[in-house]
Amino acid sequence: MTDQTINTTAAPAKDRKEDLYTATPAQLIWRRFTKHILAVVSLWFLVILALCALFADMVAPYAPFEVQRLRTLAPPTGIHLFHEGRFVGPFVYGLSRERDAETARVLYETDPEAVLPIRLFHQGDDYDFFGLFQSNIHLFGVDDRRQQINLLGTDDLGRDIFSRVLYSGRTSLTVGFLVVGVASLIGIFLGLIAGFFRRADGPVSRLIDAMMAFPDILLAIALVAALGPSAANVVLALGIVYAPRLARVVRASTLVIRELPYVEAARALAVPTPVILVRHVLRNVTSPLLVQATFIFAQAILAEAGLSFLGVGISPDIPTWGTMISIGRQFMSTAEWIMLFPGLAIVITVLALQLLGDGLRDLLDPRLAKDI
Amino acid sequence: MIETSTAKPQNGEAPLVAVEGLTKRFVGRGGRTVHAVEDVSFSIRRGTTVGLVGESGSGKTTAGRAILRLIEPTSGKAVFDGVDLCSLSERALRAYRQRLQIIFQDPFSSLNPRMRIDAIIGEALDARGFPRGVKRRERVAELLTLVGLSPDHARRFPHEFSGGQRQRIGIARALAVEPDFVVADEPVSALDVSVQAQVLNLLNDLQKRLGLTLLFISHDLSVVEYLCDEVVVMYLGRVMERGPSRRVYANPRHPYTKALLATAPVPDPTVERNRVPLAGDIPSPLDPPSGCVFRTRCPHAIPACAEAVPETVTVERDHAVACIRQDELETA
Repeated sequence: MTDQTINTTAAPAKDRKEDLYTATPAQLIWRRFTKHILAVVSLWFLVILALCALFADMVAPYAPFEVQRLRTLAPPTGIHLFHEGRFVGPFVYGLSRERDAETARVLYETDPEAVLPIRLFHQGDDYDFFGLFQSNIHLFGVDDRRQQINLLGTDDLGRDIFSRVLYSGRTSLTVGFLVVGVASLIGIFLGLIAGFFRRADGPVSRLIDAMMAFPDILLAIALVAALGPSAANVVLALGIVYAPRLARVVRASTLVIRELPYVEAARALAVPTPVILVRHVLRNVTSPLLVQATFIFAQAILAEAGLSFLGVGISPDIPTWGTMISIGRQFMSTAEWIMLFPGLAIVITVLALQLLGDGLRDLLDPRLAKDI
Repeated sequence: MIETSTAKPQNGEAPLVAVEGLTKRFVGRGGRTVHAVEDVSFSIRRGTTVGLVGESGSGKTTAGRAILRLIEPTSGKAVFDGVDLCSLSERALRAYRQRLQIIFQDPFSSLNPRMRIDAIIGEALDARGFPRGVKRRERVAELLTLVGLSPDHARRFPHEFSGGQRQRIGIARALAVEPDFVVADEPVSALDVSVQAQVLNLLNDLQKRLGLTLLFISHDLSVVEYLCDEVVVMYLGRVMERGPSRRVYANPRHPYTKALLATAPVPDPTVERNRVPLAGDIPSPLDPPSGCVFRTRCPHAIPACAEAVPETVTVERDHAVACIRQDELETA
């Protein structure tokens, strides 16, 4: 981008003036975006979340399927800094386990003697990072082999909720991302066709209207039922469900762009129609598309969780936020953290995506960004 | 790289472009028909500039686009170099596309905002199969220099330029395919007055240097007088008068041309002018007046004007007028 500002032949005075003037479009967008504090915070949150999900093997202290029979339904533990009035750095107390004689329920007591300092870059369980390398370094952990650090508690099989929320994030975000991808492929195609070719507009628009008439989840359930329940089919079904929204956005913009002189110029140059569609039309639809894609990402995460909760989505064996909630439902009254934390993860992620989308919409508003 | 006009043979008889009975009607909602261009005929000799003038709504832009088949004409012919463009299939037309180019009115929407200048001009070079690589960069630089821009501008985006500069880029794009015939659709009306002259001079200069044949669409009579060898006056989709600029300007025969010329501002306050009143607005092309379309605003209209569309009569060599009273008005 810097080469744009270079103007060696111009007089020095003119040069400086042009330097002042030439902020690249990307710089202008970024400057306007950073004024939208909530959107910036959301963006950072999502980036960190995505990184945590990607590197879940390292960030999470335990494997998502690691069953601890002696540590089922353990409550979340707090992180402490002072032990008996003395600063010892971040640590957690160990838990002592007892069984209630009458109800046979397992009860956990914090053991005030068991101080478990939190070790950063702790050597814990072995893992295989996407088959790329093997390691046993985790971001944090505790030394005592008989104790665990369960920041968000454990579920009925003694699996660490914090670790599972991270691993689930990997699946949930991937599903959201793929749904946006599938919806984009279908939606862009339909939208371009409907917007650019007058004759196709009627039939394609009616098809879009018909699909939009169904409630999202209902149509998704019907499609999954027809295709068979699997992760791939959930993605496909949700992609089909959300495609009409993108198609509408693309169609609306295409209708405008189709009439612009630069499209006419391309036609006058005998540029093939598919090239015009991609190079001139689609490229100028990216802003509204990006905004809509952000919203669909959020919706897709929510819808996937809904499908999983209803038991028609991804198999309960695969940890997603939806399947975690589904499992936690039976323990809602006794171990609410099993449901609570994946639920919070969904809420915060969806909220962040919506805020980001709002920010992007304000930012890429055609009235403001006319020249970009 | 760019040929000069001397190479082209001057076969004065066969015009490069001959428009015959060109008609474009738009069918709107409820079957209402917009008569945008009705039975327009004129011809353009190779290497000359013809001005197409008229008020807004007179169909001059539609006519220009219909000749290039950027709009499908309803009927009529647009003969280019002996071939009727209107009869060609979409595929056959592609071969002619690069010989026909257009310069747009709005320099802001005529350049794709997401493409750099070298990509915009490169697209035109692609159209004629220009090879990629160093040669192409040189050619882009050459074209930018030709239109008075710096080769350093190639890597910039359109939003970094002023209106006049953008219009120059638009001209460079049109010239990149080395066209024979260029339609300039009000190329300066969106520009500041101070920049208009520069772009006009550039067009004039390029037209002479490259031997271009130009159809210059404008509502500005003084610009057309300055630039054009011949002028075609349109009103409500029809040709009112056409002929060599000098003769039309010195001796307008059609009442509409007279009115237009009379209302054109003269930069001399001492000049006494007898204004011909041109009352009201241009009628709706949805429902054009019967007979002569100008009769509703014509100061010389008689009942006979409403009866038939006046035929275009040649009054002098190349000078034709569509008015049934042009003889008596001339002598009056």
